[in-house]
Amino acid sequence: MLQFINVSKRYPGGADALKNVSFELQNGEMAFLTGHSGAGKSTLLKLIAILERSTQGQVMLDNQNIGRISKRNVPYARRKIGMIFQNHRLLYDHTVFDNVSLPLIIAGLDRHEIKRRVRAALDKVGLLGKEQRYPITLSGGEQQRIGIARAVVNRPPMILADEPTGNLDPELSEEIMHLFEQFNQVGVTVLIASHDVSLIQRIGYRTLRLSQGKMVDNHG
Amino acid sequence: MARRRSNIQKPAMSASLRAYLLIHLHTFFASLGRFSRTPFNFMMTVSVIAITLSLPSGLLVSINNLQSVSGQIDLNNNISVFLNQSVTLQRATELSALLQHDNKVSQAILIDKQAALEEFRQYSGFGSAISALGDNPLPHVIQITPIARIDNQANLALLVTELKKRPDIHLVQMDMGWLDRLNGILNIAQRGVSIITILLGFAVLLIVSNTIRLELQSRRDEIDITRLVGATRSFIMRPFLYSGFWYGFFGGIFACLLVNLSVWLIDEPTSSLASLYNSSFNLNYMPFAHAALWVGFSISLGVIGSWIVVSRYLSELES
Ligand SMILES: Nc1ncnc2c1ncn2[C@@H]1O[C@H](COP(=O)(O)OP(=O)(O)O)[C@@H](O)[C@H]1O
Ligand SMILES: [Mg+2]
Repeated sequence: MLQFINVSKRYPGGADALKNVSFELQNGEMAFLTGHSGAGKSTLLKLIAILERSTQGQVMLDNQNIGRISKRNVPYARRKIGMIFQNHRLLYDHTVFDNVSLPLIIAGLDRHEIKRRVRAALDKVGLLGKEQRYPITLSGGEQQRIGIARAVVNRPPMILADEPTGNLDPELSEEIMHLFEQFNQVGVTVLIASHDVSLIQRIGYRTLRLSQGKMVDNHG
Repeated sequence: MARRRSNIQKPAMSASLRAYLLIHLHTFFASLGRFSRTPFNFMMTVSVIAITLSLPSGLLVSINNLQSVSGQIDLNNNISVFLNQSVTLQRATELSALLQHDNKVSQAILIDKQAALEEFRQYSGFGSAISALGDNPLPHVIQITPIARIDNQANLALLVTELKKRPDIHLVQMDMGWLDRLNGILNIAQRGVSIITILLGFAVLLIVSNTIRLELQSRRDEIDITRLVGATRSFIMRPFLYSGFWYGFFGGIFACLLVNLSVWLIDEPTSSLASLYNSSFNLNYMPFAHAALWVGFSISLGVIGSWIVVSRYLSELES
């Protein structure tokens, strides 16, 4: 279970990006995080992935205060979370296979197992057969699928997506969202930051709304 | 979710160990392969390291060669013992025999003054002038060759002191002054090489650091992304440490090659010069053990230089 307890985040020299935010997300739940640009959506996700640390309050994941995790242990905590970004964050001078296998190589799996899991992940996102292509030769939607395959290849219990459909047209966006639904159906906790309100309303999941760093609605 | 997670089978220990080693090996040689994409940059760095290290290692080879020259001179060093004018031929012969029995002396030859004068008369061209002198102005001389074992300065000095104490002896002359000085200079030079090695070692450290810094900058995104998907510090550092290893390895090898190439180029004229002095002197190449030490030193500098830069960079990134 993910739990924010009175969490505030102030960037050095900046204003408060998050102010006294509290909410809970059950294991296996799927939810959207909305709000205007600058509301603090990315910051909230970064606190979960320990890319930033909160200045006040506690971020609890399975009853562990992840804000207290030592630098040494951060990489291991991160492996339990699949992250997806609007700008994909792919290695453009590496093949699709290399991109997707990266988390497995880091985890130290053997080659045979890596191959098997990469194929499985690519199969799920519909990119099977494109292992040896370079990301730049694929469309924006397909590149985002590479990012999703990389996020799920290690079978993390939680997926965080930051504006995953920001650059995609509505049809592709819906396909991507459908993928997330599929992962959620097999038990993965999914939290998606998006300002595409109409899309969110069409799909209809729980919505957490941030406004200027404050959680103004966490029921949806 | 519990169902899902139970699917994650931990690979058997031996398999995961093998995978671990394979990854190491892979990164190790992959870091070598990466250089083939930028061979010019790679060769630039390697050359700078090689040239920098060839200076101290070359100096050391030069000093070793000079020491072996001075060692050869040591062995056939002769001591000339000039006796007092008043000493008779009989007394001189006795003294010569006595010295011959000294255990520090290999050979003592008496050059009697009459024979010496004759020789001088014949070869000097001052024959008539010497005849005009009447009295023989030369003393008896005993030419001493110290035994080969006495190759160190202290024993030679002891022999000379003992000789000087004898009553019939006027002068003990050993052409050692310049040898002392040479050895003194070589000792200083050796110390100088140590200092130069330390300074240039720092230079190599800086060269490697700078190269790795550029490599880091060009792979910023890659580092960020690997961190995002849970890479540990050591996983990120590893390829850069291997890069440092290879820079040091090739830099060290090329430094040794440069030095030995120089020895080879100088050897020919040196031995022909030596042959003019009836000596068959050849220059020594860098011994293999020294070469191995230099390469090891260079590798250490490469790895340390890389480690400093990458760990500083990662410390700035970590949250
Ligand atoms: N690294 C940073 N340093 C300083 N201020 C930041 C940083 N990242 C975000 N902010 C500020 O924090 C606020 C929230 O940003 P962000 O979480 O990116 O919002 P959102 O993702 O909802 O657009 C903004 O005012 C933004 O300018
Ligand atoms: Mg954002």
